[in-house]
Amino acid sequence: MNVRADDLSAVPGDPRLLRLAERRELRALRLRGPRREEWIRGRVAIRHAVARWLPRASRCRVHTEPSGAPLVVGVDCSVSLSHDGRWFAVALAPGRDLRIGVDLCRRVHAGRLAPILRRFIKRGVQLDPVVQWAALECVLKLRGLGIAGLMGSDARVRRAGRRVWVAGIGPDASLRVIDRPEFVVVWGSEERQ
Amino acid sequence: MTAAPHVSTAAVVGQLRTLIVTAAPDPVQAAAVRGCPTDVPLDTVMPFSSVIALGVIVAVEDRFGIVVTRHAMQTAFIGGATLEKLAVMIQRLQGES
Repeated sequence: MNVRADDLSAVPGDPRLLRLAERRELRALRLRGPRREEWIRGRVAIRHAVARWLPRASRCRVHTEPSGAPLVVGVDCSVSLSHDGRWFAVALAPGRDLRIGVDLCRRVHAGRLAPILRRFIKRGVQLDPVVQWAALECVLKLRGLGIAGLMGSDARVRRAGRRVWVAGIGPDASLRVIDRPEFVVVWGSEERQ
Repeated sequence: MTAAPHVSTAAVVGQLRTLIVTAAPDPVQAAAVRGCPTDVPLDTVMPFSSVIALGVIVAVEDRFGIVVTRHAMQTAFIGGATLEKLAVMIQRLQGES
């Protein structure tokens, strides 16, 4: 599994770079202003990731599942995308055997995350709230769950070095974490059932 | 938490616009919420991430003196949360309190 975190401005936001089906999706979504540009850059970032890590892959496009998760069409791989402000992270694993999840959370959220964790997670804040949040979001993505899945959950999160473990939202999950001055990225994978 | 007096939908929507901009880390990007139609998914006009969404729920509970249940939140977020759906959720929960 490969993961890249970068400045979203490093990815072109030109709608002409989108495939025909992607343009149709974009029109249907009726995104405005910065959200529209963010969406375009996200699709391009995923296709760049496919080209970089699966260089022999054929032409692909990115389809958006009803949950909002991206699905690469035309190349056998699993992807996950996260963006927050001017940063994004994309994760890719070859084949379709794995479900993968990545979450990027900016440190600027630290102050607003503590009350959210206290309100929605029975055990409240258990470690750096930004790392905890990114880990929880990553697990939600892995399992295809929405944020309501967190409400009243007994999620337990612990960290040792570059590993984070999440228990209490389905099976235990072992995730990887990197800290950067502006953000945290957490990612992981598990076998599809 | 004390229940706030019931207010009209327009007033609730007005307060929601302010709460959302306050909950967002990038006020400039969130500013579009101040004038967007009430039936448009918030995620289409600003980055309405999970952090912001749950931050808004916490702020709404505090401001309106309600407890947002999982079911109420799921209902409000189906197909994308809008100002209208959030206002309906608040008024329903106020009616139940």
